[in-house]
Amino acid sequence: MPPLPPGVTAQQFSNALREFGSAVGPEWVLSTDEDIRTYRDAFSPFWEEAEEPIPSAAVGPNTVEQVQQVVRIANKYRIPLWAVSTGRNLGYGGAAPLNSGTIVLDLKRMNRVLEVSEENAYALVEPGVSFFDLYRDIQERGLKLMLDLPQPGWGSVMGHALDRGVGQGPYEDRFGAHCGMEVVLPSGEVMRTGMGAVPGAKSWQHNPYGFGPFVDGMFAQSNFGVVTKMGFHLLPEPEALRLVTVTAPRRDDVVPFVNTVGYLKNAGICPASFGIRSPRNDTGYWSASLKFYGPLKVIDAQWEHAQEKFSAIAGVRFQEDALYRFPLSPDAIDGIPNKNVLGIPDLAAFGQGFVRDGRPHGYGHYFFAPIIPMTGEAMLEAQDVFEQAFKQLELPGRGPVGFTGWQRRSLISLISLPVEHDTGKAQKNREAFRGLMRIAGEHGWGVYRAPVVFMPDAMEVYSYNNHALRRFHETVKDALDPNGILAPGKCGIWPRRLREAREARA
Amino acid sequence: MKGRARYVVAVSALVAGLTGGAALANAQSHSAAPLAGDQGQQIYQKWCWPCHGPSGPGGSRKAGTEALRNSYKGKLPAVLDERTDLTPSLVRTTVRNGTYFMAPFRKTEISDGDLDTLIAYLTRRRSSP
Ligand SMILES: Cc1cc2nc3c(=O)[nH]c(=O)nc-3n(C[C@H](O)[C@H](O)[C@H](O)COP(=O)(O)OP(=O)(O)OC[C@H]3O[C@@H](n4cnc5c(N)ncnc54)[C@H](O)[C@@H]3O)c2cc1C
Repeated sequence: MPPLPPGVTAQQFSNALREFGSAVGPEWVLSTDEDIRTYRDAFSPFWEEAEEPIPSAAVGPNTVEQVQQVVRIANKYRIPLWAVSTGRNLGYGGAAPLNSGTIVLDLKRMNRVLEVSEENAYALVEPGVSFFDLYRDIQERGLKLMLDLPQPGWGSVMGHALDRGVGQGPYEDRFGAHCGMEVVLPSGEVMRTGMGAVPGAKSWQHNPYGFGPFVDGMFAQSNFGVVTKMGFHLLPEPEALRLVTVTAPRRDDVVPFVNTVGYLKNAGICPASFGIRSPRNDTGYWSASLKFYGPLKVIDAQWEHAQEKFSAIAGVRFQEDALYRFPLSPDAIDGIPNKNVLGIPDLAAFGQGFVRDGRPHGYGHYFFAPIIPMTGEAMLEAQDVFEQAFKQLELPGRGPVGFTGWQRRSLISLISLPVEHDTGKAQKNREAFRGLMRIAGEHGWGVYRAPVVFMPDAMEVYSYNNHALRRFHETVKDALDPNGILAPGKCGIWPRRLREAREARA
Repeated sequence: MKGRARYVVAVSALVAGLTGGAALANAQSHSAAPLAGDQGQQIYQKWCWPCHGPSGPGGSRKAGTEALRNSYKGKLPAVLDERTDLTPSLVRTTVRNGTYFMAPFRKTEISDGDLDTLIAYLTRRRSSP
């Protein structure tokens, strides 16, 4: 028997399920044990423990009108809903809610690509459209457009952006690449943002702002609405892509090294996301993987310019890893190990991280991902602080090896912790995760995103002026969602009726 | 750049179009390729192939195939749709429950009807009942 939403009786719950069934079709109210199993977080830090959040059911609408009806029924019964687009947020919570008993609002069936423009390079999609789906759609129409993707291709173009996920190419800021939204508000009303607020809008996906306050950010990493349509700017297919690695030999090289990478990014010479690794060995203390997209002549010149700039560092080495020319033939695509950088979705990332010594390795992992400034000094500080933290928290290794250059002036210092099915080990990792978050906060670093079960902890760090930001969020929450039915506690934002529990804990 | 050490090492200048992809046992060339074949095969291509299709060398590694190759050490094919021993209940349970780091699949992704079709495809060459 799955857990009921808090304060809801079995009778009310079964009435609500029946009403949800009338709205979406009874077969799309999923409440058997087998169904519920599929909505748990497969990479849960609390796997099979009492605290693991277990949903009470899932509801799968197929249209905006059905979403509205579901939201209204949830208000009537005060049953919390947790919206997911494809619910493949592995490493950050999967499809599972924060609180047991919440109903998952599974939007996967809303999987229509509503519009793709080659001329203005954009797409308008529903929540369930995965990167695989949009890629296939573009290929079938023969359009010269490229996607900017996270590593796993099965995720939602929309859901991934709403969690402010990271892409691999020049449109790496996936939320930043969006343009226009349609949102079902907690009241059940539909709103369009940006130019979309003009009835019969002609430029919804052309300009993000429209007129007046820009509210789109309120629907990412939040619990203020259910997004049902979202526009995205796409990259015109480039002529070529060059992948290179630059290494610098000494630890002290980091300041000019990162300054050069930052300059290339901010000057628009190499705008794509990049990785900086610190293997700390003879192959070079620092290594950066850079990507140049564009006409061949242009990227030749950009690469040459980049080498000139890096050459101020004695002993710097350059390696050209690959040069791809578009369009790619299917045979050529097949031979490419890292297809994501070419805008081609796949699931190869699971092959890299989860098979060790040729065996299925473990049960997944979850990510600690603080943001640090894109400077050499900040990287050295992060290495030192996390090396100490790893010792203190008894974690194996020496701290982060890789940094991802994301956004123009910041780096993500990514650390993954393994999911354990042994309770003792799992608890140790959770404590380590919270420890890392606390230590990062003491140094002025917050995370860019957090696994659902750690979201309230992540928001604790964002506490300037006695949590002025969270109090602002909660003022908005109370105004928009007085019954507190959308994702209570998500990102640490609680509706009034559930805030006392947090305050009592504090 | 004068007087500075400057090396350009072209390790693997993969110029697409020159790399002939190795012939695969399976018609599909990559995870996002157009879906082809009968319905069961299409469901397999869409939902299973990205982890269970033919894996490397050269191409991308498929987590499921790599894991099964090492578990079976050649006793059974590593690529799922080359197997002749899969039973309907094994496929159903694995799809709906997942295993190790494989997350389960929901009815909004693979409906019960599609799962039956997928099972028929994966057990089509079953050698014994
Ligand atoms: C091996 C591996 C590699 C990874 N690589 C990357 C990577 O390169 N980049 C990256 O960013 N991530 C990466 N991830 C993390 C994560 O798995 C992906 O970001 C994944 O795409 C997110 O899941 P999703 O797209 O299914 O989104 P969903 O799970 O559908 O949604 C994500 C979040 O947005 C909210 N949301 C979704 N839809 C709506 C809606 N319509 N209205 C309101 N709120 C909504 C959800 O509540 C959830 O909090 C990786 C994970 C693993 C395990």
